[in-house]
Amino acid sequence: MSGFLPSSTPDGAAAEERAINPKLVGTWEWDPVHEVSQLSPELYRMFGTNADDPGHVQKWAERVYPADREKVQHCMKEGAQTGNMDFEYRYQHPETGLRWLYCKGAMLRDGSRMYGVVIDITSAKLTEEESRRSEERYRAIVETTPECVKVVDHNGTLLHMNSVGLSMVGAESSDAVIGKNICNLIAPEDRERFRAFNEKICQGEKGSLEFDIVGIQGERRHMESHAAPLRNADGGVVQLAVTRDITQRAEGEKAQRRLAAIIESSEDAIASKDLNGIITSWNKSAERLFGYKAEEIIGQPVTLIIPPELHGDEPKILGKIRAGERIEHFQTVRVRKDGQLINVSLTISPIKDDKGKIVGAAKIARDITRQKKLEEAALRLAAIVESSDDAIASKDLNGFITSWNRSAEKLFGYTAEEIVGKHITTIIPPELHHDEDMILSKIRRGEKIDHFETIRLHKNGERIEVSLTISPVKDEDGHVIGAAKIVRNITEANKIERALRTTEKLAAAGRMAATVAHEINNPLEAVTNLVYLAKRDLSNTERVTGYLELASRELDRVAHITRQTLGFYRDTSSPVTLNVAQTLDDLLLLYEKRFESRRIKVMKQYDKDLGITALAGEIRQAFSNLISNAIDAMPDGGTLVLRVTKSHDWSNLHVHGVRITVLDTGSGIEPRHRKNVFQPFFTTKSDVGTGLGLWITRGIVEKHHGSIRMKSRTGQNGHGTAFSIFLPTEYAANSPDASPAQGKRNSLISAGEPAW
Amino acid sequence: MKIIVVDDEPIIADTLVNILEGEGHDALAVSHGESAIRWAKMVLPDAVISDVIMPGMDGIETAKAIMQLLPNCRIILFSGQTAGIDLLAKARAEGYLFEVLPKPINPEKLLEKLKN
Repeated sequence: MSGFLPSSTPDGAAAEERAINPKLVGTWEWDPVHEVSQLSPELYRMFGTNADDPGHVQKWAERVYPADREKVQHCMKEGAQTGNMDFEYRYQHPETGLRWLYCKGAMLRDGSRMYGVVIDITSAKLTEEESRRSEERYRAIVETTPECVKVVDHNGTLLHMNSVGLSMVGAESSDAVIGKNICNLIAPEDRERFRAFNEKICQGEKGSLEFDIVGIQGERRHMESHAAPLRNADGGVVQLAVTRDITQRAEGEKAQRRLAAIIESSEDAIASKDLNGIITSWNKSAERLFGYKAEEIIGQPVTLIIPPELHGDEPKILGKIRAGERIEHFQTVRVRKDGQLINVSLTISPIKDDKGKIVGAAKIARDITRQKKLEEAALRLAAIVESSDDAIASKDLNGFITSWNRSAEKLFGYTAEEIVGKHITTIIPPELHHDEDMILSKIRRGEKIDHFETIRLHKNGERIEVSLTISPVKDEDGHVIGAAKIVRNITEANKIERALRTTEKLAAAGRMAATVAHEINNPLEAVTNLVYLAKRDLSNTERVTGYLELASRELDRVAHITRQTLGFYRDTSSPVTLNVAQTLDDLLLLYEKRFESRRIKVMKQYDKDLGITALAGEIRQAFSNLISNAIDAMPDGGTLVLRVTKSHDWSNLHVHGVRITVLDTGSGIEPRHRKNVFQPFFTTKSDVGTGLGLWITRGIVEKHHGSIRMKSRTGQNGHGTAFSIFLPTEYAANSPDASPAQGKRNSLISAGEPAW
Repeated sequence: MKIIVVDDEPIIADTLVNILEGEGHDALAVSHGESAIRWAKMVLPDAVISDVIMPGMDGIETAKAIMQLLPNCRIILFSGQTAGIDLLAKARAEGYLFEVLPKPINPEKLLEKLKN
């Protein structure tokens, strides 16, 4: 019998069924020669017929499902001819109803007999049918779902994609994409992520992924995919994914995020409330303005930030909002978390839902406390300007006067009415008109001019010495739109200063006279004696020659000193190049006697070749003041160190020059006096000093754009004072950029000055 | 006459000594106040001619010391500058009266002075 069993199973489920239920299998044999067939009892049972019934074949034929009758006839006929029978058909069993039967038969080689088997495959068929219908149902669902449904294997090969998916990727037919790698459709920047995701799914995990695709037509879409592993027929795991086009949603979200960011970063405080006055949103600026954090105020009534006396306003505001009205620039007062009241300008608009119903209010609050303060400050400033003792004026960039305070009226003699709108050159002497171009060009560059000393004209033609401080006036955007000018009358101050300088010069001259007298009279004493001796010993030529030689040498000394001294106060107004070490040596010569008489040792540490361009007379005076101070500081002897080194400006390393240090080993300056040493009239040696020397020295140094410093130590272990002067190599011509005061001062002073 | 000449400038002291010796005086040149006092103790001079402004002990101090040692010794001071006036005024306040001759001195006038 085993030979009759089908060698291959047409269907897995039916085969299973046969194995499980042998009762549903019947056998048959057929003699084609005699056209006689013999059926096993099981087969009769399966057909619901009886062997004894002569009409059982007839009955069988009638019970074959009408739609299958033709197929059965055909297959039996063909099977008889080919010797191989293999077909299925439906059969109406009288008791068990419609059955699915499978018939298989094979002819012996000699054609004498055909043996066969009939198997009831009903339940398998039903399962198969069910599964086919279910698959069709699924297929229909998949096909009609509005989202892309796809199956991708672990390599990324697209196994299936529904028509929605095809249209999403822009494929006209499934051939364009099925069987190809899906990664080709993923946006390049997302490919790697997609591959990893696919792998993860194919390892049995579920997941979601957002990614961009670039369709066959090149259209980019933003997708959101939910995927699950699916066991395939061959046992491999593939990705089943439902993918949605969220391009719109993503755009919407982006727009919303953008709006949220704008609100969040707005300088204005932006908040919203519902119609009951409960706060529903609160941006960063609102946090700053009111002091409440979003998380502490959202859900709270808006009256929290309204001062109690204004609580009555809120229902009115809400009423207007309910009526759909907008409230613009409503200036009111609100209260911060810390209780401080702030001036705000409110703009409140109704918020409508999708259906246009008003559901709340959006509120923009601007802090105008500062604005109010600024207004007040401006008024205050105007009052200050008006009442200032300094003349304050302003002009535009073309030099036309735009404001003029009371002190300006007093200083220049013009009233504001007279001069506002006039050009600034009205008050500038003709020869200084070019100053104005320079001033305006600096102002246009946004630079400030500090204490520029110059001359201006009074209405009556009188010249006034003034110190100008001019600052650019800028608009809100930082553009220079004019200049504010503070004018101080320094005519009197300059007169006093000039008197002081003259005094010090004369005092210095007196001191010099004493020194010089000694230096000249001593050699003259020697010469007088030598001449006397020469006359006495006239006959002794040898002796006379010796005396005269000595006399000549002493006279040279006198001549040298005279030259030095006369040059000392010859105040050249134009700078000359001078060798610093040589200048110091010439001065030392004058003080030689005093060094000796005080037992002061002089140590020179010179860089001998350093030169500067400077006003020689003034530099000598500056050095001489320091040396003379050093001598005064060492009444009981000591060491004077003079150092000349190459250096650069302490505050600007690009400015090169020379540093001169004058150091004494005197008792030092007491700390309480140190800050005063450069002040006029400050002196600790009232018997010899005027208290002007260091003040003058500093003036000279600053005029040369140099700087002076002092260091001093008192006490047992190491005491003394060092003055250090830096002088730039080049003497800069005067301009308002650079210490303008000194230049003017100099020219004013040298006029009519005794040429000592 | 035994005379000590004090001046920190050797050329002045030396030439003066030379002049004085030419007139028959017994003169000695020193350049410090301290050495003038030392020599004065030894030679008991009749006169001391001294500069005023000198390193160390000045001419006034030197003169005061010599006057205490030798009340009969003549003191002639000479100075190249007016700064000595302060010192002189100070000495006067202390009861010492000195005459200061301005440098340069005509040697003949000096010799004349010594004779009186």
